[in-house]
Amino acid sequence: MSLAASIISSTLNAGTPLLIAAVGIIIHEKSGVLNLGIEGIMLMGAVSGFAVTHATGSFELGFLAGMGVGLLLGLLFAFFTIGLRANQYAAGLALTLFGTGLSAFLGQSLQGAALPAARRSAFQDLRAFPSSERRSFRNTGLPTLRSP
Amino acid sequence: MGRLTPLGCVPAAFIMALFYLGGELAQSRLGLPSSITGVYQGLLLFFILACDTMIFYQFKWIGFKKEAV
Repeated sequence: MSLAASIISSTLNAGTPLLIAAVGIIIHEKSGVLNLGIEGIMLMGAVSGFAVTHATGSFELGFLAGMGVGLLLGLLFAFFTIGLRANQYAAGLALTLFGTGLSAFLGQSLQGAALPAARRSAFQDLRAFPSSERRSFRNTGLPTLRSP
Repeated sequence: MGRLTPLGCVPAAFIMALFYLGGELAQSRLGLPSSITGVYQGLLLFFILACDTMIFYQFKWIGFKKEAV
Protein backbone atom coordinates (compact mmCIF):
# COMPACT_ATOMS: atom_id res chain seq x y z
CA MET A 1 0.00 0.00 0.00
CA SER A 2 2.76 2.42 0.86
CA LEU A 3 4.51 1.55 -2.41
CA ALA A 4 1.34 2.21 -4.37
CA ALA A 5 0.84 5.47 -2.52
CA SER A 6 4.35 6.62 -3.31
CA ILE A 7 3.97 5.60 -6.97
CA ILE A 8 0.70 7.49 -7.30
CA SER A 9 2.16 10.46 -5.46
CA SER A 10 5.20 10.66 -7.72
CA THR A 11 2.99 10.17 -10.77
CA LEU A 12 0.88 13.12 -9.71
CA ASN A 13 4.03 15.14 -9.08
CA ALA A 14 5.48 14.35 -12.50
CA GLY A 15 2.21 14.60 -14.38
CA THR A 16 0.93 17.91 -13.08
CA PRO A 17 3.18 20.11 -15.29
CA LEU A 18 2.20 18.03 -18.30
CA LEU A 19 -1.44 18.45 -17.36
CA ILE A 20 -1.10 22.22 -17.13
CA ALA A 21 0.66 22.29 -20.51
CA ALA A 22 -2.08 20.07 -21.94
CA VAL A 23 -4.71 22.55 -20.81
CA GLY A 24 -2.80 25.26 -22.64
CA ILE A 25 -2.53 23.18 -25.78
CA ILE A 26 -6.27 22.43 -25.67
CA ILE A 27 -6.91 26.17 -25.74
CA HIS A 28 -4.57 26.36 -28.74
CA GLU A 29 -6.49 23.60 -30.48
CA LYS A 30 -9.81 25.29 -29.84
CA SER A 31 -8.46 28.38 -31.55
CA GLY A 32 -7.40 26.34 -34.56
CA VAL A 33 -3.66 26.39 -34.00
CA LEU A 34 -1.65 23.21 -33.65
CA ASN A 35 1.22 23.97 -31.30
CA LEU A 36 3.91 21.32 -31.63
CA GLY A 37 6.42 23.63 -30.02
CA ILE A 38 5.03 23.23 -26.53
CA GLU A 39 7.91 20.97 -25.55
CA GLY A 40 10.46 23.65 -26.34
CA ILE A 41 8.39 26.28 -24.55
CA MET A 42 8.08 24.09 -21.45
CA LEU A 43 11.80 23.34 -21.37
CA MET A 44 12.78 26.97 -21.81
CA GLY A 45 10.35 28.04 -19.09
CA ALA A 46 11.68 25.37 -16.77
CA VAL A 47 15.31 26.32 -17.34
CA SER A 48 14.71 30.03 -16.94
CA GLY A 49 12.60 29.54 -13.84
CA PHE A 50 15.26 27.36 -12.28
CA ALA A 51 18.06 29.73 -13.27
CA VAL A 52 16.33 32.77 -11.83
CA THR A 53 15.42 30.95 -8.62
CA HIS A 54 18.99 29.70 -8.34
CA ALA A 55 20.39 33.20 -8.90
CA THR A 56 18.03 35.22 -6.73
CA GLY A 57 16.79 32.64 -4.24
CA SER A 58 13.24 33.79 -4.76
CA PHE A 59 10.66 31.27 -5.94
CA GLU A 60 8.22 33.97 -6.97
CA LEU A 61 10.76 35.59 -9.28
CA GLY A 62 11.54 32.22 -10.83
CA PHE A 63 7.86 31.59 -11.35
CA LEU A 64 7.49 34.95 -13.08
CA ALA A 65 10.59 34.33 -15.21
CA GLY A 66 9.27 30.97 -16.39
CA MET A 67 5.95 32.58 -17.24
CA GLY A 68 7.66 35.42 -19.08
CA VAL A 69 9.90 33.18 -21.16
CA GLY A 70 6.97 30.95 -22.05
CA LEU A 71 5.03 34.04 -23.03
CA LEU A 72 7.85 35.29 -25.27
CA LEU A 73 8.24 31.95 -27.02
CA GLY A 74 4.48 31.71 -27.48
CA LEU A 75 4.61 35.19 -28.98
CA LEU A 76 7.34 34.03 -31.36
CA PHE A 77 5.20 31.07 -32.39
CA ALA A 78 2.19 33.32 -32.87
CA PHE A 79 4.27 35.71 -34.97
CA PHE A 80 5.21 32.88 -37.30
CA THR A 81 1.91 31.03 -37.54
CA ILE A 82 -0.53 33.93 -37.33
CA GLY A 83 1.51 36.90 -38.47
CA LEU A 84 3.46 35.25 -41.27
CA ARG A 85 0.98 32.38 -41.84
CA ALA A 86 3.80 29.88 -41.93
CA ASN A 87 3.18 26.17 -41.70
CA GLN A 88 2.11 25.35 -38.15
CA TYR A 89 3.72 21.92 -38.11
CA ALA A 90 7.07 23.23 -39.31
CA ALA A 91 6.99 26.22 -36.97
CA GLY A 92 6.12 24.00 -34.02
CA LEU A 93 8.89 21.53 -34.80
CA ALA A 94 11.34 24.39 -35.24
CA LEU A 95 10.33 25.77 -31.85
CA THR A 96 10.76 22.35 -30.27
CA LEU A 97 14.24 21.92 -31.77
CA PHE A 98 15.18 25.44 -30.77
CA GLY A 99 13.80 25.17 -27.24
CA THR A 100 15.33 21.78 -26.42
CA GLY A 101 18.71 22.85 -27.78
CA LEU A 102 18.78 26.23 -26.11
CA SER A 103 17.51 24.91 -22.79
CA ALA A 104 20.16 22.17 -22.78
CA PHE A 105 22.77 24.76 -23.66
CA LEU A 106 21.70 27.25 -21.00
CA GLY A 107 21.13 24.60 -18.37
CA GLN A 108 24.51 23.03 -18.74
CA SER A 109 26.10 25.20 -16.08
CA LEU A 110 23.16 24.54 -13.76
CA GLN A 111 23.48 20.77 -13.74
CA GLY A 112 23.50 19.49 -10.20
CA ALA A 113 22.87 22.94 -8.77
CA ALA A 114 20.78 22.99 -5.64
CA LEU A 115 17.94 25.35 -4.99
CA PRO A 116 17.54 27.11 -1.64
CA ALA A 117 15.45 25.14 0.79
CA ALA A 118 11.81 25.30 -0.18
CA ARG A 119 9.90 27.33 2.30
CA ARG A 120 6.18 27.24 2.64
CA SER A 121 4.66 29.37 -0.10
CA ALA A 122 1.27 30.97 -0.20
CA PHE A 123 -0.11 28.05 -2.20
CA GLN A 124 0.79 25.50 0.41
CA ASP A 125 -0.34 27.43 3.42
CA LEU A 126 -2.10 24.83 5.49
CA ARG A 127 -2.64 26.90 8.57
CA ALA A 128 -6.35 26.83 7.94
CA PHE A 129 -6.45 23.11 8.63
CA PRO A 130 -6.71 21.73 12.15
CA SER A 131 -3.44 20.50 13.53
CA SER A 132 -4.11 16.77 13.14
CA GLU A 133 -4.86 17.10 9.43
CA ARG A 134 -1.92 19.40 8.98
CA ARG A 135 0.37 16.79 10.42
CA SER A 136 -0.91 14.13 8.04
CA PHE A 137 -0.44 16.50 5.12
CA ARG A 138 3.09 17.20 6.16
CA ASN A 139 3.98 13.56 6.55
CA THR A 140 2.94 12.12 3.23
CA GLY A 141 1.71 14.92 1.06
CA LEU A 142 -1.10 12.58 0.08
CA PRO A 143 -3.22 11.94 3.16
CA THR A 144 -6.07 10.10 1.48
CA LEU A 145 -3.83 7.26 0.34
CA ARG A 146 -2.14 6.45 3.61
CA SER A 147 -2.40 2.90 4.80
CA PRO A 148 -4.65 2.63 7.85
CA MET B 1 13.30 22.48 -46.36
CA GLY B 2 12.57 20.29 -49.35
CA ARG B 3 10.26 22.96 -50.75
CA LEU B 4 7.45 20.40 -51.01
CA THR B 5 9.22 18.36 -53.67
CA PRO B 6 10.29 14.76 -53.13
CA LEU B 7 13.66 15.33 -54.76
CA GLY B 8 14.28 18.34 -52.58
CA CYS B 9 13.92 16.20 -49.47
CA VAL B 10 17.12 14.32 -50.25
CA PRO B 11 19.54 17.27 -50.06
CA ALA B 12 17.55 18.68 -47.14
CA ALA B 13 17.99 15.41 -45.26
CA PHE B 14 21.70 15.42 -46.08
CA ILE B 15 22.05 18.97 -44.82
CA MET B 16 20.26 18.20 -41.56
CA ALA B 17 22.43 15.11 -41.07
CA LEU B 18 25.53 17.18 -41.74
CA PHE B 19 24.44 19.63 -39.04
CA TYR B 20 24.24 16.80 -36.54
CA LEU B 21 27.63 15.45 -37.52
CA GLY B 22 29.15 18.91 -37.51
CA GLY B 23 27.72 19.53 -34.07
CA GLU B 24 29.39 16.39 -32.75
CA LEU B 25 32.63 17.37 -34.43
CA ALA B 26 32.45 20.81 -32.87
CA GLN B 27 31.86 19.13 -29.54
CA SER B 28 34.96 17.00 -29.78
CA ARG B 29 37.28 19.52 -31.45
CA LEU B 30 36.21 22.85 -30.00
CA GLY B 31 34.52 21.76 -26.82
CA LEU B 32 31.22 23.34 -27.80
CA PRO B 33 28.12 21.71 -26.33
CA SER B 34 26.29 19.48 -28.78
CA SER B 35 22.97 21.13 -27.93
CA ILE B 36 24.13 24.06 -30.06
CA THR B 37 23.07 21.92 -33.02
CA GLY B 38 19.44 22.04 -31.96
CA VAL B 39 19.54 25.81 -31.52
CA TYR B 40 21.07 26.21 -34.95
CA GLN B 41 18.58 23.90 -36.63
CA GLY B 42 15.67 25.60 -34.94
CA LEU B 43 16.85 29.05 -35.97
CA LEU B 44 17.45 27.82 -39.52
CA LEU B 45 13.91 26.44 -39.74
CA PHE B 46 12.51 29.66 -38.36
CA PHE B 47 14.31 31.73 -40.96
CA ILE B 48 13.27 29.40 -43.76
CA LEU B 49 9.64 29.65 -42.65
CA ALA B 50 9.90 33.40 -42.38
CA CYS B 51 11.48 33.79 -45.80
CA ASP B 52 8.50 32.07 -47.46
CA THR B 53 6.40 35.05 -46.49
CA MET B 54 9.06 37.73 -46.47
CA ILE B 55 9.92 37.14 -50.13
CA PHE B 56 6.50 38.27 -51.23
CA TYR B 57 5.53 40.70 -48.49
CA GLN B 58 7.26 43.43 -46.58
CA PHE B 59 6.53 45.06 -43.28
CA LYS B 60 4.99 48.47 -43.54
CA TRP B 61 4.16 50.79 -40.72
CA ILE B 62 0.49 51.68 -41.01
CA GLY B 63 0.13 53.42 -37.69
CA PHE B 64 -2.58 52.95 -35.15
CA LYS B 65 -5.41 54.39 -37.19
CA LYS B 66 -8.79 52.88 -36.64
CA GLU B 67 -9.90 50.68 -39.48
CA ALA B 68 -13.00 51.78 -41.35
CA VAL B 69 -15.62 49.10 -41.15
